Amino acid sequence: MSLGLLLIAVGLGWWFISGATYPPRWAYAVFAVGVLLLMAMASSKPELLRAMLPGRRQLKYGSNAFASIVLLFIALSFLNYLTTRYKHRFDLTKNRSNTLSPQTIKILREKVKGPLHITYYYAGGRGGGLPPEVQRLLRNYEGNSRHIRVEFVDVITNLQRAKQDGVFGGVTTILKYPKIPNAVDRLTAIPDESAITGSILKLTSNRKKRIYFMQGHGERSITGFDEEAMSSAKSALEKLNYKVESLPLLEKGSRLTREVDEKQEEKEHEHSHGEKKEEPQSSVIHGVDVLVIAGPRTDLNEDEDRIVRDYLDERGKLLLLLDPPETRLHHAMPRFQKLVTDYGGEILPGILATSIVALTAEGLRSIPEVGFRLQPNESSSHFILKGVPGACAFYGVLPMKRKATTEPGQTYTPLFQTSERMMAASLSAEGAIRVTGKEPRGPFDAAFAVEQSIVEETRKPRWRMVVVGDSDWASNRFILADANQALFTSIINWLSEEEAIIDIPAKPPVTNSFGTGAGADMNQILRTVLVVVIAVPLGVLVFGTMVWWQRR
Amino acid sequence: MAVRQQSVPVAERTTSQVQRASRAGLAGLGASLQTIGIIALKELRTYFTSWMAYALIAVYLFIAGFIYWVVVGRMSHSLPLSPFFAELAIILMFIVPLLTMRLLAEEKSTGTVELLLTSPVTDWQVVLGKFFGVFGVHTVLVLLTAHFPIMLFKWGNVDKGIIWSSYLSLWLTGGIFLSIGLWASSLTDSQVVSGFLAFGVLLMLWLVNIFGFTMQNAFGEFCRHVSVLSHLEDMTSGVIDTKDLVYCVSVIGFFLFWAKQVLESRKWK
Repeated sequence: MSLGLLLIAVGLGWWFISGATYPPRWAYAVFAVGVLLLMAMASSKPELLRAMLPGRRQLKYGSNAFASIVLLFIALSFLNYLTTRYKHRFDLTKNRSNTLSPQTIKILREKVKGPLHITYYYAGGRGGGLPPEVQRLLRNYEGNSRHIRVEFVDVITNLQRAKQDGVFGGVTTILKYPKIPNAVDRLTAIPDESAITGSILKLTSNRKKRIYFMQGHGERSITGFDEEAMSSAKSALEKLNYKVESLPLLEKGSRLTREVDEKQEEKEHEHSHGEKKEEPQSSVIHGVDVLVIAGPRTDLNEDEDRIVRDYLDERGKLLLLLDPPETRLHHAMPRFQKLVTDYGGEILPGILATSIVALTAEGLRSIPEVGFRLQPNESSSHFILKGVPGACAFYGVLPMKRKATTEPGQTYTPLFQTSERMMAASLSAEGAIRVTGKEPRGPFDAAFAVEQSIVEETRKPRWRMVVVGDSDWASNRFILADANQALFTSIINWLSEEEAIIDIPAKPPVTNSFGTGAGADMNQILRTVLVVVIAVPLGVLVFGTMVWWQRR
Repeated sequence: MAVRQQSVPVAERTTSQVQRASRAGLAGLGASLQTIGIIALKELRTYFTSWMAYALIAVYLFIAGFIYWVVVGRMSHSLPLSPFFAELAIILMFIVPLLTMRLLAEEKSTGTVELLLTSPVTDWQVVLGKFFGVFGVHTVLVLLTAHFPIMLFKWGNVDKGIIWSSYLSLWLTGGIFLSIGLWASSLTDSQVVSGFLAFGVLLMLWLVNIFGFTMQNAFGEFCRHVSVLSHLEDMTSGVIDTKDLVYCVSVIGFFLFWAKQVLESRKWK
């Protein structure tokens, strides 16, 4: 009988533990053999079975007691199930570090409309493991949306599963949103709330935002892999689910050239026939969420200038990376300069330079330096700067400043400002940077953002523009230096109005410390030992002995 | 007289009956609570007039103090408070069976349980009285660890929220352990068997969390919810979740109910 019961238990137990929907065949066989053994025992020794059964009274009360225990278990299980679905959390930590931000909760409620699987791959074993803060964070997501399901998979013990997802080691978080075909995102660092929410936002967005890099004026390429190109910046944007393409503005045969020609023909037709049709859309650049003009070497022609201005006026978003003529070897570009001036900024002559003391053949000399790092503007709380964790590296920057008069509804924000020591140097006839000591001094703006809000009187649509007086910082050579990549993605997020991606302030981690500096000092440790290890336990023991002595 | 009785409105009579009944009910509840309180106080006195409670508390405080010293003595900026409180709960797992093993098993082995069951007290009153008595010992034990946070507040910089929620978790986890210990004590008249049984169940309730991690299915989910550890992790990180509170109260209630059923079974066996 014992063997029969054991086999039944093994059969059932294996089914539960394997987690399979249907038990394997051999589990059926083990279970059946167990049942057969029990039946054989019952038929061969019925008196033994009778002896084992309790009396009628015991059976009655016993089954009542058993049923009540089972019923209570079921009721409590149901209650616990309900509380896992409808729970309330009280986060007692100082900075609410265990609570998702309101932005995340809003996104989970409004955007996640179908099952979303989050799989966190980690390398278990000695020295590895699952960080409790990540576990809590992801469980928090699961708790805030009934559509989210979180799995923690140890790469070492689930190698096959990890291979299927293309994970071969290290920490990887994979998010899948089956409702949208191919909506899969992968985070390869230990995730924080900002990264997870940004990823969810990307996955659940129906349309990828399109970022177009203008080409045709010697701009930086987004396909090349040389130091001058911007393929790394393109990759960074694609990771954020943006669609990045190049836009040959007025190259012969391009889409835009054809559209410009068609518009010109339409205008000529209207003029010759005296008809005046209502123009449905003045801008020929449509379907472009952000237009990037990165390091042009030649100026815009008249048509292009009009196209870009029309685009901006039609709620356009423009990122303009202009270089001083000295670093990109180009001539003056008045149309670009005028564009900047008309939209709130002003480009000054020269190149930003700082002087450094260096040992030359003529001894210690102060020489001009055009490569430098700038801290983000501390006095501004602009969205772009929230995503920039520190200084950014620039090389050869145009000095810029705010235009004396700004249009109503325009908001000009300097993103990077130089110190007063910085000067706007000029070039000598040989092409070298010349410092006479009479150059205008800072502070200058190295980058600024301008936004035109909706003006009630004119109902003018809103546009956004960011101008940086350098394009090297976003090139393959510099994009990984300092916080350059964060600056680039943050600018694009702002321009494309994807503020929710990073507008989640990072919560400072809870740090509990004892003592000062790097830990407790020796005096504190000694007093701790004395109190907690010796005095208090010994005190309790002495008190207990006294009580026992009195009562013995 | 009959006329006077008829003149009293029916609604008024009903109200007065309800009031009387509720007064009787309240009086009954009060008496019941009083009985539970008497049994609990008697248990508490038994513990604190013998050397056992003091010895167990002293051992607990010594081990906890040693761990505390190791934790704060690290030359590090960050104190791992959550693991520290989890370790305090682990020590409880060893101490609680020693505290609870005598609760009902001793009464059974000495035969005093028959006296208890034939006296005018209900099984619920016995079980709850015993539970609250030993829970009082546990509360004293938890309060005697107050010097840990006091020193942290004085010499360190800690998030008070984590300390409060961790203490609540320690207190409730102790309640769970005690209810299981009481249930194990109700099953047998041998204190040793009761102690081992309680320890085994507590260990299982702790380790079942492993299944929750290794199996990504409904059974794994169930194991994770059943495990004390998963609830403790939440609470020691500064979060008080209604699901954790309901879990603690459910487990305590379930094992006390089971212990009451076992105690009742002596009447019909």
